[in-house]
Amino acid sequence: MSGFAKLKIEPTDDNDGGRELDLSDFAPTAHERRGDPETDQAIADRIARRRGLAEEPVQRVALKRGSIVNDKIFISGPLVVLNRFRELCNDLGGKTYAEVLERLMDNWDDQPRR
Amino acid sequence: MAIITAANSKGGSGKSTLIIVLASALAESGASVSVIDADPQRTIGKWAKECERLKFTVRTDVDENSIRRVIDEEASKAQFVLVDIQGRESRLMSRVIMACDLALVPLAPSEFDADPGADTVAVIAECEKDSNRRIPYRIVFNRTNPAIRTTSEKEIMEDIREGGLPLMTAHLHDRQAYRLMGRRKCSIYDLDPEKVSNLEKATDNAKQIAVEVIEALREERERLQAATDKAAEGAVA
Repeated sequence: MSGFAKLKIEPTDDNDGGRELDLSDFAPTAHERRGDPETDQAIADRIARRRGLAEEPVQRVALKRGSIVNDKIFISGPLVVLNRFRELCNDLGGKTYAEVLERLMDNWDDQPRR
Repeated sequence: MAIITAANSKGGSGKSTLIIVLASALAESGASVSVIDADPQRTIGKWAKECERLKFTVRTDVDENSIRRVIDEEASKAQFVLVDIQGRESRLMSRVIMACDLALVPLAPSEFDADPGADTVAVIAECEKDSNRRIPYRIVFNRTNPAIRTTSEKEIMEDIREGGLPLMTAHLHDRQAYRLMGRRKCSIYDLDPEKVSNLEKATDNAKQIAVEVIEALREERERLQAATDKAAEGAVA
């Protein structure tokens, strides 16, 4: 018997309409097999730190604008910086990236140089 | 009561589809089902908002700080609580894994999905090790062709089996119905069989998944009970 024969599993195609689901042994309960919530959270957070997982869900801030950009530039950087930039665009009334970049550069130009 | 999550650090691995299909199949069988959409993208929440009729509830008022409380709240009301999380490893993921009775790791049959899937299994293994308790999980192939098994699929399956990792027999197949439920804003059970090819095969496939998930939950429950009994006997002795 080859190794592939061992891999041969039961057909997974869709011919199971006759089996009824008996779910009567699952009843709503507040707690069952899980551990203490605080202990569980401490363990989860320790693992997250150890593996360098993001400490909070990563959410891309949607940009509220509808104008057209004539050329494109790809900017790669920390999400927190890019989100800050998007939020600035939103705070300025939904300005385009280009408009806000221009404003930032204008401000830069206006600043006194050492 | 059972708390189930779909976890894979790769976006687009089919977590939300799996959750919706499983929730629909369980609800269709008469179970009370609550879905917690903890993915900041709110894929399921947005979908559910536009659904005209759903046989399960969807909560979106949750973040990583409230996730455990919300899970416990829903667990006291529903037979099954299904938690959708984002496709990226985060602290939320480890917190949900620690709270669940069964984690499903959906995997498209491609190398690009296999590595993030393995990373997710590694997180589960760490949760087990640190908590010194079993965190049940099953790997489930997603978007596979029911008629053809690709070389990539066979190879990944071989790796999983060689590693002794728990792999579900049922796959969530690539079906038009699963794609259409997203677009039509309804569950597969509300699609028109006249207009959707192989709808019956999709609903049968959904039921197959649900049956195997239920079997896994029962198996894990019995295993836990046996361990508890053994510990009690040891304490008495």
